[in-house]
Amino acid sequence: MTLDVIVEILATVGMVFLLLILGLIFMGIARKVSARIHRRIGPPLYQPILDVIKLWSKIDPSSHGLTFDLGPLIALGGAITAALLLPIMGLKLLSFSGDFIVLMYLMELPALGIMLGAAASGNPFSAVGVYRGLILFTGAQLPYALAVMAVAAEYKTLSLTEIVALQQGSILNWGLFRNPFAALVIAIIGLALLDVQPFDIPSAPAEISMGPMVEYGGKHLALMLTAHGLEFVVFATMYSIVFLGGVGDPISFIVKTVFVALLAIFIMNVYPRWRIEQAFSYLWKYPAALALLGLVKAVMLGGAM
Amino acid sequence: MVSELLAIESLATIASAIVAKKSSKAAGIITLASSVSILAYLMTIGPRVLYDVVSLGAILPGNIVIGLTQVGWYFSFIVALVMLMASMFSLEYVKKPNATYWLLFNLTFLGAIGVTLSIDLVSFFLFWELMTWSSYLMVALGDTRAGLKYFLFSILGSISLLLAFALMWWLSGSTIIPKAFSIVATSSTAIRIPLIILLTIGFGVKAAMFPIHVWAPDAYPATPQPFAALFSGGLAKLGAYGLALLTMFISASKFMMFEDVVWGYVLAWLGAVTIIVGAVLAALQENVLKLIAYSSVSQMGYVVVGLALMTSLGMASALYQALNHALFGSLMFLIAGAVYLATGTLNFKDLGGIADKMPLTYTAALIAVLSSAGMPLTTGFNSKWMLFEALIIKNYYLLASAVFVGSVLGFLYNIKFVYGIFLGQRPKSLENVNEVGLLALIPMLTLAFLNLAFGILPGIPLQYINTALASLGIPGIEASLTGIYTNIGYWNVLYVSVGFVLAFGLAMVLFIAGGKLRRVSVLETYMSGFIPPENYVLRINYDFYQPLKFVFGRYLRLSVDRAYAWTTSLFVKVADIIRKPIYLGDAQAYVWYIIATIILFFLIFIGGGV
Repeated sequence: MTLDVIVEILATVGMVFLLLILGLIFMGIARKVSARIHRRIGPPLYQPILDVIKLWSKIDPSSHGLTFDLGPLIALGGAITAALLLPIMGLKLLSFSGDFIVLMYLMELPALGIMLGAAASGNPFSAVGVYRGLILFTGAQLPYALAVMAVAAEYKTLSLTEIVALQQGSILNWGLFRNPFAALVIAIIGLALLDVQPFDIPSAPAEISMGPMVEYGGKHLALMLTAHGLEFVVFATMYSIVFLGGVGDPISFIVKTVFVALLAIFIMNVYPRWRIEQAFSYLWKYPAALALLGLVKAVMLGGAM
Repeated sequence: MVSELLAIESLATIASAIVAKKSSKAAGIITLASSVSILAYLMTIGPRVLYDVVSLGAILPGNIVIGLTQVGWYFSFIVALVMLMASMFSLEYVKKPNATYWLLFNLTFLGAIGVTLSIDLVSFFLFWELMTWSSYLMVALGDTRAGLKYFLFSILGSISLLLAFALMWWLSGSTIIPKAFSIVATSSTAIRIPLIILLTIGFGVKAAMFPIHVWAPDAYPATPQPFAALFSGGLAKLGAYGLALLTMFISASKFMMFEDVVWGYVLAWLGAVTIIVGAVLAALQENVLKLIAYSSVSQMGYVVVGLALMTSLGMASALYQALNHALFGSLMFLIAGAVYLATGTLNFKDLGGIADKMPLTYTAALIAVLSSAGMPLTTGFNSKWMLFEALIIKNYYLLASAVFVGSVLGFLYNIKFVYGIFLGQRPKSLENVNEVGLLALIPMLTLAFLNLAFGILPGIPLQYINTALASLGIPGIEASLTGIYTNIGYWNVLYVSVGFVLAFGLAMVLFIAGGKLRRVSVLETYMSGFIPPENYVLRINYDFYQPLKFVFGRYLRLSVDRAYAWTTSLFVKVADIIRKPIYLGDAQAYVWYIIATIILFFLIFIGGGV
């Protein structure tokens, strides 16, 4: 028994490192695909890994105090904890400790950590990024909550492992086909949660020079990039678990998460950035209406097809 | 035995008021001693039924019953805990001899603890009034207008309560709370509906429920901050206590009727609106106390929603949230008090960047803010999580979405609180700020510690909550020391916190292994090539959530306050229209009125004689 536990813990630790690297490779994919869309050649897939190593080994990184340092640490810690809750490839160490709502909150923890650290920097661009981010969160929350409620009404459970179990059998049991409205809405909300164009209002490189990240460099930025990549993977995995029938084996894990990531990358390269109030009114109109439709479908037709 | 507690507190009230004229310290120590003894007594005796029948002899006919019930114990513990922290903080805050402060502070506490220790309606109402009056005086001393507003709403609440209590006594023939409240749950529709509405208004005023919350954002900031901690942390909980009694007795009886369900649904929506309105307005305030006051309104909304569900999970989440708000809400007021002691201002535009100067206060503030925003591993998350699960189990999906939006709005004001006071650039005027004294730090750090401790060990409060629910025959919820389990989900805090600590440790190792840090000032920031001069303002100290005004613009013009003002002016206008043809301002007309009245009386007299 103890041996099993040790093996499982080792496997989990290995999984965490795998996910960290996968997150950076996702960013590499994003850069490569964007480059191809722009008709450039683009950097190799492993370029973000090199970037992170380079940033991490920079000497003399500047700091604005303890809270400033705490931001990237909370971000990475929160992202890893969120990753631990996901049942990936049969690993279930922490997935019986928290359900979907716990995961929702833990997925917001990295962003909050970065905002806290950024607020401590004293740069007005950071503060602008912080309030933009929080207002965007508020905008995203209504359709997000409605869509999560549709998922809860659809599956009658919030346990991620049970949600996976309910989607087994036919491909038509997948959440994507059972409740396409909720699936679409959460895909849109994912862009807002991950700070991806057209919702990259909090960082907006051309306006407020990366917003909360403006003061971060060196090893702070290395940790933050790692955390951001991991957030990307966590969201893609969560999406695959809830809507694409779970990620039971390595092949489905890679295929499904990369599929979700590619969708986000295509959208990111096609749509320009919104202003904050445009994004807000968009989110409270169409995605919210769609999510409401999904909720009505889930409540009216129950778990049935 | 329990009535002696009230005797001790009465004596402490008188003694502290007498010595406070000479020394504030002595008064504070007496207050502290009495609140420590009350809390120690409550903790040793534990939740149980224990009562004294007290004869009032010459003052009133009949007896009153003072004692503990399991539900009352839970709320008296909350009030006593907040009082202990607030009175210790007051020792640091009120240095000059101030008899008024200590008298009203103690009287308010006496009223509040008396309410929770009352088993009959008479003493409940008397203590309720004592608490209301003494807190009104405290508010009025700070801000007369806010006091008047509070007083008006309190009168509305008191009259509703008095009517409801009289009705309950008339129906049940008893003033004992369990009997009187059971009659609400078993009476017929015609009586039940007005009774429930009256009780909801009566308790809702104290709990600052939408739309009768408007007194709270003015009243809390008008009082000294340690008193405000007791006011929002303790007194507002008693509104929740009353609503909890009502909902628990209704759901415990098997006579759940259609109107109960409708009432529960309406009440839950009122709670959700309270959460959202309170949170949006809190985010838009420019004063620290106003922000906390609105956040208190918002946080009490979760209690109302939880109670209105009338399921054991919902009510458990409400009772848990009542404790949580006592922990972080009063902590936020104490932090504001500490900031005021140190800087002498509470406007966001004059504050900022004092985290380095007040590191311990800042630590407490950070924990309070995380808990208030409901971050996992703090106690604020546990009750919110339970509420979401309860809403989903009850199939209230739209309501759950509204509560979700409200909870994310909570991030806004919490980040503003910590950024506005502690982070960013420090104004020149705050260069000489120092950390507050030990007597102010101990309560703040204790409350912060409790926020973390109950966050990782939700089983401790839930054990008492289950006892309280079980005392009315309501099934408890499934919880271990570190985990909560429902039909549709689970939340094991221990494993997740171990996971988080390990993950955080990994990040820390990576961080420490990197290059050595160089500390830079706020002026050394990226400013697109612009070199800021010495006194350049580098922080957003006004109108922080300006785009929020933009997106909610149309709705922000609506105001409950103005709605009341409009109603008042309508009454004045109507009365004016009626008055004008009668009161002409002409002496002759009044003489004719008098003559007409005399003739009228004369005719009645003759008619009666015949």
